[in-house]
Amino acid sequence: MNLISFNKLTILAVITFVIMSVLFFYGDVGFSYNDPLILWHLRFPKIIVAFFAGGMLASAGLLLQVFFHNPLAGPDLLGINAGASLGVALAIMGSAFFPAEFLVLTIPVMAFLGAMAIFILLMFLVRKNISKISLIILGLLISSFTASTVSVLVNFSTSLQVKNFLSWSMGTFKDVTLENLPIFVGLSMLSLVGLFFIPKKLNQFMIGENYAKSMGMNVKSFKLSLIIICSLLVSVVTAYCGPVVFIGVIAPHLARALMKKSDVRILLPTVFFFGSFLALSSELILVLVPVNFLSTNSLLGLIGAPIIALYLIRDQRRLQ
Amino acid sequence: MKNSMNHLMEFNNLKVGFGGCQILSELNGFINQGELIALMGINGVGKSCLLKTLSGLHPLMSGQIHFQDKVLSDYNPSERSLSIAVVLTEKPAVDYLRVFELIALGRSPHTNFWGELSKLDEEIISKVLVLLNIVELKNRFFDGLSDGQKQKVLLARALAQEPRLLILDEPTTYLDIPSKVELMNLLLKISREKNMAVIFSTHDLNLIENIVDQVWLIEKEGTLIQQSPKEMKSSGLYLKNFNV
Repeated sequence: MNLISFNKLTILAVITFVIMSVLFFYGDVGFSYNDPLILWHLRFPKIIVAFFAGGMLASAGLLLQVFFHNPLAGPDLLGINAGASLGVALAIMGSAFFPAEFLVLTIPVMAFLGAMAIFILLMFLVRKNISKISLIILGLLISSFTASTVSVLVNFSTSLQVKNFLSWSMGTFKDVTLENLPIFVGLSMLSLVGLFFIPKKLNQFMIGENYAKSMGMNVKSFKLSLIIICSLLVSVVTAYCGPVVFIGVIAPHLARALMKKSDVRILLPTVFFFGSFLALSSELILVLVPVNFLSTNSLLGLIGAPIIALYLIRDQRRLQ
Repeated sequence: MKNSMNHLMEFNNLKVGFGGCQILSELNGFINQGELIALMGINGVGKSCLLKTLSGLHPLMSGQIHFQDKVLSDYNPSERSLSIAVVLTEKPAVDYLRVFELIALGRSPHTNFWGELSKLDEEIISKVLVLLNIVELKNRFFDGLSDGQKQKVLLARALAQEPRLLILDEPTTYLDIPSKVELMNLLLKISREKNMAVIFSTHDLNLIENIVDQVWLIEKEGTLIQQSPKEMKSSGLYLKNFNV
């Protein structure tokens, strides 16, 4: 990494940490109320969760974009989020099979299996020359299919189960308690470790599968490791925060625009911090504009959807 | 198994046609070290398939390919990448991909797991840039280059891999005449100066007849004929197969 890239990354990281400390000292009840209980039990977990969740979704987004050679790919638009949601819905509403005491465990595991199932399904459905738009439509179809499955499940569930699932599905960084925080951070670290082993391979794969093969890549094992890493990243976030939207698809664009590079070794840390930055900024906006009709997901949707739409309209030619 | 005739590559009774390709069978041929070979044949006859099979990207259906001292299918991908490099028809479409970075990827079979370039790697890349006369493109974005420049950069990436055998699929398609001639002369220079075997597919006999050592012609019926360019021109096989 050259000096300019390093400096840009440092500035981005500093801004992210500034937002984190503002969120720590300034909350719904203002500067004056610095009760340690509020700081450590409410604000601290939220900040840490937003930092990791944003970064992980963004990293997964970059992986997916390189993997599918598609700048519109992201965990939500490809339906991988939805797969994780279906897993969680089964865990919460299928309590006949999954006793409620074990929800802490079954939710992440089912989210992981759901995400992975969709990813594997995508690999089977996607032919090599699928157009970029078709891939996204396929993802949206998968999402609507899983949503329908969930609504069927609702019929067989108690109102408490449905309420639990609905409140989870809103998408928020606030639901992880201080007690659960170490588990979340542990799982996050575990899924982030995988990222250290793939930048060189992603760089090779970026210019085309056959070129990657000719440069010595074992494509099958690369694809398998990418599926596992991506599913881990997405499912850990989705299990604890609900299906958070748009961070995964936007952050890679911001990172490329900032760095003017394609090298994954440089983009990956940048993308991670942009993801954290986006997640923390949305929390900051929620704190600064304390209205109760805005949530993390609705805010991200309000900002994210127009950005993607703009990209679609501007770059129609390249998306053929 | 030892390669009997000391050819760099030799294949017998080869059948190709993996992955929806045109099936070609009973193919025999050989490639000598430092030889420049043109593969010809009408569109859809299976040139790409044969080249992808010879480069190890596609599995073969039956028969055998001997490469250096082993059977090609006994090479694992990383061993193979040290001896065979390719220039394919598909072009990388990546935002902000710089020429230098793309060429540096050619060194990736030789670098560590993080892909760091050593002094030696950088020297090799610089030499390739000079050889192909593209030093001034080094910091440009690949997306913004002309077709001719792109082709040279992709060739540079393959050369940076330092292979014994270089395989190019339709390298002159979409190029204007001067770029075609320039590319042909570069391929000749590479095969002579680096003693590298180079095989490429093309349609243009006039372009290659004074340059290549061998012509391989895949006939409409699917047979592979290996001749010198002079023989090819006088035998009338070329005219017969292209309906000129």
